Amino acid sequence: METTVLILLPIAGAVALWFAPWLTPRAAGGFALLVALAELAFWIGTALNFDFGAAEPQAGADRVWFADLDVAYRVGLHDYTLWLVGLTAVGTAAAVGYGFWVGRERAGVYLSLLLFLEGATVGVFAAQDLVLFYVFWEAMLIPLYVLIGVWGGPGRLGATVKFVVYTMAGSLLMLVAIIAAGLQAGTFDMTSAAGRGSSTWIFLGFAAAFAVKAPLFPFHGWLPDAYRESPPEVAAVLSGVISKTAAYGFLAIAIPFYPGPAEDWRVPALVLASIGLVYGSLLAFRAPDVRGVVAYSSLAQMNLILIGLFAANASGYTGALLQMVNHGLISAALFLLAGAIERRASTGQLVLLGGLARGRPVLATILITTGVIALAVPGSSAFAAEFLVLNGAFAVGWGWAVVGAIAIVLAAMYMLRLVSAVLHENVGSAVPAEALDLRPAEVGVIAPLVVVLLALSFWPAAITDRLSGALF
Amino acid sequence: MEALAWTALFSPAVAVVAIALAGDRIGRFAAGVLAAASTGVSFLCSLVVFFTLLGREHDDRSELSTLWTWLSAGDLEIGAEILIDPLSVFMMLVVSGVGFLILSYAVGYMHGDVEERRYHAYKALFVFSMLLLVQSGNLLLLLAGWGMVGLSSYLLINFWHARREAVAAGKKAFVMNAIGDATFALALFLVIQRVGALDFETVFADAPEALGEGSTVAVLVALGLLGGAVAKSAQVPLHTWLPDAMEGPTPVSALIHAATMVTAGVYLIARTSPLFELAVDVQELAGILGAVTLLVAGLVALVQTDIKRVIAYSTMSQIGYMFVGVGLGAYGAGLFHLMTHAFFKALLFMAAGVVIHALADEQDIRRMGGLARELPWTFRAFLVGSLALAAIPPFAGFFSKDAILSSAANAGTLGWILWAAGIAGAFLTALYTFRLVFVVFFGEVSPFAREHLHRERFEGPLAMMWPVAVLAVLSAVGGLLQIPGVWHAVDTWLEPVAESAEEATGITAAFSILASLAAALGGIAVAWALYRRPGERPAAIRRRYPWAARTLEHKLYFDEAYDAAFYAPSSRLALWLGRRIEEPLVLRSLGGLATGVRDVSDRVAATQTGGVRAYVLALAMGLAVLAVVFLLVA
Repeated sequence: METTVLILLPIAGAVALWFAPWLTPRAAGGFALLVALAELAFWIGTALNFDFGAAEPQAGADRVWFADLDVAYRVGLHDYTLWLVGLTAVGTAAAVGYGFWVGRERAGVYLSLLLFLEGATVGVFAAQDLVLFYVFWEAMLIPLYVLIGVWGGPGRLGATVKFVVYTMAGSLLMLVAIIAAGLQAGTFDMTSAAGRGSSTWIFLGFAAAFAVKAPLFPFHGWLPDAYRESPPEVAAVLSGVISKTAAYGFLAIAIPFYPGPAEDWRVPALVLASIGLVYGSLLAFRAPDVRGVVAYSSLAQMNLILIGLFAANASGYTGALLQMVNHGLISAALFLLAGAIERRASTGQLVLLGGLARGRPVLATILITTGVIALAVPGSSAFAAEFLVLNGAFAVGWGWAVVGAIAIVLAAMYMLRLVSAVLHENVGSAVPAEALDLRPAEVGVIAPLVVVLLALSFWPAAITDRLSGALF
Repeated sequence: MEALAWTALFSPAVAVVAIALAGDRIGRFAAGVLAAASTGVSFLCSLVVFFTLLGREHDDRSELSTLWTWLSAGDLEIGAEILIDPLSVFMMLVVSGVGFLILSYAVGYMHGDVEERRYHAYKALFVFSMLLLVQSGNLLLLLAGWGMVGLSSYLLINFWHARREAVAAGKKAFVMNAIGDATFALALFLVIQRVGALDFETVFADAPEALGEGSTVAVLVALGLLGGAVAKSAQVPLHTWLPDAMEGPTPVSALIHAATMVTAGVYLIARTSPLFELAVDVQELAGILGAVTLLVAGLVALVQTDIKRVIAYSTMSQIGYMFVGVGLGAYGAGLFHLMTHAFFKALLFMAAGVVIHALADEQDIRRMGGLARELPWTFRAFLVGSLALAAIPPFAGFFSKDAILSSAANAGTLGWILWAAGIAGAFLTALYTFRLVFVVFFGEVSPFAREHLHRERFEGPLAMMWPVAVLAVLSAVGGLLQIPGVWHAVDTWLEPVAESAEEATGITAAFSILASLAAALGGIAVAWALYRRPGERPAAIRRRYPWAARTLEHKLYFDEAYDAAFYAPSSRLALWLGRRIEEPLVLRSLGGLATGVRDVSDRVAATQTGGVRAYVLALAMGLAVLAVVFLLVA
């Protein structure tokens, strides 16, 4: 029941906004923010009543949709999906708040799309039926398509087309896989053991969709453009939250349902993910603009998460899940900060930036804090997650962990480069002297993300202790 | 007692949060006082813990306190836990005690800087990280403190972030340390795989069986830990960040060097001595690296002209001695030198800070001279620090350095080799230290100094002078804690944690003492001859051996070599990947697929002209094609 509310609340909010175009942007923004916060509050309530020991999905619902194929509206939350739903609620609330504050054109429609996206994403995490999963999966694409294509930067059309073609190609393969899997098993129920199989082709069908969306190297052709051309808050949601649906797909469907093929494809997947980790880090080190650095670091981090998933042991899974939450918060915060920087300097080119720290202590403090957590300084929750992921990889083979260790050093290099290029040294030519420190509204949106990260650094076991054996 | 130890740990952290949240609602001076006071609280707590332990039985001095589970995964569970034992309390006292003096000094030194508050918050963060490092009860939290110390030093080094050099130095320090963090983490993975836990007690108890003495695994674990130690302690070959780190304000230098951060490697080796003793080769390697470092640093220090850099190189070389000590199993001697070094090195940095402060931020010794008359008390303090550093009795450094050398003299062939390096190092130490003393304080007052010197009532603000005085006293008498043949307070105190190797006795010990004393006095004599007054002789030597001077001025070309071997290739690789792989292959070819689809659909869309004639024509053509197909198939 609660799960249904979590899915429908933002969608209902979106529909209401859609049908109320007469609302002023202010009223529409206020309403959207209220819905996003209500969703967050409801999630907190659900989390407080959650039974973290249970193996079965909880707070769910089960209504027959079409009985002959055993397709049903089955939803429910596992303990690990609970955290991802929480991430969705937090990330969307920040994005809605930021979009509201910046003031987009046709604010009602814009924010309604963001809310719809939230509902669909929660649906992806909560679905316990493959057809339903697919429906939500595709439903995520529609608002993203419009959000990037209409509200994006100058290159938005190319970015949107690329994004759609890439993800559609993956999704179609997944659709085929879902149909084949469902017909073979006689049910689309994800909780039933009948769903488990050994078909390599079905596994690859799922993997295709997830590999594109995560993205796993080298399926990231859509990523740089999409992250550069989206409005910052959409990029924040896209890299922070939406990419996690793909990691979740590997974690909850592709790997556990097809253990045999997953085992067979483990080494190729680890090879690609390791390449992606180093490759993304290197490109982030040389990217010319703020968003480029964040985009490629995001690629690197997602590949790190995939290393943890394909290590397929307790340490790898736990680390990957913790890192999904961490990276979601980090990436959202960094993209919103990128937006804040671009608003002030009207460019994200690093050579034109610099010296922003002087007289802007809040911006400097928040950017440095986020940056050092992003580079996984020991003691941070990102470090805890990275440590578990690489420890899991080490158990598979020491070489994977050594590659990961190299990436630790590279992460320090690209993140410090970003921080220094924006904040330190001489004032950049594009930085106007009168550029303001972060405004209270920006702080109100970004600071909570950082505070959650700091709290998690203090106590990462808050999450890792609340993962039952359902995972492993 | 546990509550006190936790208070000691978190007190500076509270100050950091308070200063950060208060922003400009708190005065600059108040922020400084708050940071210093929080460290003072840590010191008081540490003292009480120390006396509590002292009152207990010898083998009942270890206690583990866990507050919550920090991280867990499957069977692995890592607590937020601290270990209270003689070694950690020893380090707590040094860190919080010297830290308190440095933070107090910083209140005076940084007075008037625009971003003073930020500075004090960083300092407090540093002390917190360092305390976490030494108090942690397991290897993972130790690594956490380890990394956070690196972070705070990064923040402090590039504190004056408008300066390009400061920013570059900060990044370099962080990245060098990240290399150490990475090898450290790899060692921990091995430990987890073999032992299944990371807390000291379990690891040390199970290690002999789980790793196996002298096995490859044990060697790898020790190597990984050593990598971390070498990076953090600026030993060859991961030392190049340290001299650059002098870009930070002076108390930074003092804190990074003297008391704390760079000695962390020595602490690590002492703490994990049960692991190192399973891989004696690696432990000896630590000693050898220490010996190499102390010679390299001693040589390079001879030609440096920045007063802080000279002291920085002397730090490297003194830590080299500590590595020799712990590398040979003389933990007591190594840590004893760590403590006395904390006193006299902090003293030297602070006295140098007074000089720099008085000369309007000038750091080049070539512009100084004759300052003894102008700053008599500072001169005396600096002289005490120098005598302690050069190991002249009865100053503190004499006893601790002697303890290391006489332990080396009792450790077989390798021991004697390291001993010889140590004696050579003692000569170099005395030479470069007194070069500094003579050039800066002796002779005529330099024109620059005459022009720029501004003196306050006590040669510096009172807030800066009293910590200097305290440290001068400690540097003078701190060595009496351990006197060869009389008592070994440090060795005895640390014995339950790490039993020290035997020192040489009798005639060997006497020989060792005399040799080191002769070397030190020789160094001072040579410095006297060369640098007592500005003269031609150093320049003449330089002209005679230009290659030697050049090599030393380039710090033996380590920076250049690393640039050529690592930085430049990885930077080029990144650019190449971007240009040759990412752009054409990933973005354009696969991306070309996307634009291809769009082109096709554009063309398809173009056929929808709305013209009926075109549609009918198309229909007819389609029918015709179908008809042909049917005919052919039939």
